Amino acid sequence: MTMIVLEHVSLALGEFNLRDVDLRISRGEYLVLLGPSGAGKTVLLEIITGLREADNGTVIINQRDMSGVLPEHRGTAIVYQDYSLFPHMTAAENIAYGLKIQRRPVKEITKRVDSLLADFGISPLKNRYPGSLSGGEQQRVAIARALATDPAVLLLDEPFASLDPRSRDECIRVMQNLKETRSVTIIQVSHSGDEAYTLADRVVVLLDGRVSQTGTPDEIFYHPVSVKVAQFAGMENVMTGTVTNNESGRSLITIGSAKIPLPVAFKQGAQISIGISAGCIRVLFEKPVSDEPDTNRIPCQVRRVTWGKDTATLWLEGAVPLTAVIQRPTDYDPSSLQDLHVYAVFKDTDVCVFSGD
Amino acid sequence: MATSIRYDSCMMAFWLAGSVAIIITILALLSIAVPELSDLSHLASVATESGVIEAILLTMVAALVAVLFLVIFCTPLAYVLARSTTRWKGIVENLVDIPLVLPHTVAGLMVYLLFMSRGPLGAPLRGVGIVFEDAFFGIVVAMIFVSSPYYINAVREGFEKVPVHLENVARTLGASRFYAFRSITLPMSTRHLLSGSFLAWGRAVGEFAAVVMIAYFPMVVSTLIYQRFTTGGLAESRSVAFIMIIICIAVFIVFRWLTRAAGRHDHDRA
Repeated sequence: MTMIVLEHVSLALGEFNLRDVDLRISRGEYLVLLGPSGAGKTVLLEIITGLREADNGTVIINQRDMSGVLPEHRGTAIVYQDYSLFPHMTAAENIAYGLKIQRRPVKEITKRVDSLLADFGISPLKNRYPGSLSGGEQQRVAIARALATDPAVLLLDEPFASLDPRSRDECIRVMQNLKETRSVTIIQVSHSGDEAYTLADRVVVLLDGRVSQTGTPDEIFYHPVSVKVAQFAGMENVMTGTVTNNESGRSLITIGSAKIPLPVAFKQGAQISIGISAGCIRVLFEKPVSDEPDTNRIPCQVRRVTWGKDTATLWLEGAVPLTAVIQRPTDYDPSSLQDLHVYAVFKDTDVCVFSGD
Repeated sequence: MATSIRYDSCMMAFWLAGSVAIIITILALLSIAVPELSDLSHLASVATESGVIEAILLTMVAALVAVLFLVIFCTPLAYVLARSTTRWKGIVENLVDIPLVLPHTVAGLMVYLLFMSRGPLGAPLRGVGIVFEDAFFGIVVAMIFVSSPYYINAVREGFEKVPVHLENVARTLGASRFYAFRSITLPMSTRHLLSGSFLAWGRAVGEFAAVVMIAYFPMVVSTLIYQRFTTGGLAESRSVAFIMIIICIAVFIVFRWLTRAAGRHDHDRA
């Protein structure tokens, strides 16, 4: 069942614009809204909550048109990156805020607040003021506060962006748990692929105020539909070339001196762009013996290596320049990789073809 | 050899420059306090004069009424100025600041023209029994006029410091705008509300030019000091001034003591 429908939502707001945003979010769905800073993600959340008015378009929540409905009557709750706890209230008072407005009986409020504190593992912090809590603790109080009134939709605006890695992981676990145990509809703004992978049922990429792609995290990160999405998703090997068709009718793309087979047929001479995720490229240090079908092997030389904790990124020079991310090899001395002659290997199916720009 | 942080030459120079203002204040206080304290019997006789006591009480009460008016009518204005994005905001802000840049005699003349018995506001209000010329309410309106920018600007600054996100969150949790203002913004601005009130009160207590133009009588302390200075001489006016200094410092200390806990959860202090 559809929980939220956005139809043709547009808003011009000085430096950025939302253009004709259409979205449908199902009840209980966890949607992650990805996009660079300034793409209009926060503005979109504020339009859903009614804190901002769109120039055009409709917001429908729970089958109800929200035009003219004030934020306090929409049943949406927002959690900001800066936690936004009320500093003059204790953790428990913060969580009870919405319940008090609903004039629930004191007994019921106490019970509800206690159970939320327990659910989020913050019972001992009950009577502490936000100023004395860590970032992760504050964010858990903020999420508990947002859930206290049983909102139809929970909106999270980069909730983990200013947390240290440990608190961030803790908060993500809290959200995973929440997703499994409650049927709350969640829209989370993020620019982290990891968060999308861990939490999202569906990902929406917002670029320049438009919905550029909607899909599963795999679809976004491994099969982006456009060069822009590919670049945003961090796809390293995006290249443009010319289509040539061989005698058996198979389309190939010529980039530099390399010919790479394409998964679909194209018109001879067309200019198209392709992308290959760096993680899909295997690097072989010796000439591959067996000929695997539908696999490309490009002889290259390692030009530059950057080392991560567990991985190494190799900049390869061959018929086409390629970037590959490999598990940090244990049997190679890091310095010996430089200038080494290797083979970049990838499957035909790992090649993404971009239709738009 | 490393320069000791305690003897930072730049900070020392700044202290030296700044001390000029402090020294002038101290000397000014001493120039009144020393002669007064060396003739305590004269000071006591002035302090117990009914005219002096009445003037002091009148000044304090009128200033308090002026502040009360500002709290009730100008707190909403300060909030609107802090939150609104309308293009008229700039014009309103300039209007608010006008009393700051006007000579106080000009402010007094404006108040007089508006509230005198034949004035556009004075005439109809006289009809319902409120008189401003040479009356308590004349003193109050003059005080309100000159002290309003101090109150509005201090409180607006306080409201601006409360992040809009907090109000947004409160709204989505079911609070109306007014409830969010009352439960979040107002308590978080306590420090600015109090300091704005105190600034305005101090400004009102000290007002002379604007008050004297609409109400020479009943005499506020400033008028009394001026009157004694021009008729009775230095010693007469100095005693009243010294009493006023003592009262103002006492009020300041009591105010600080009463409000020491305010604003302990303010955002910019967290």
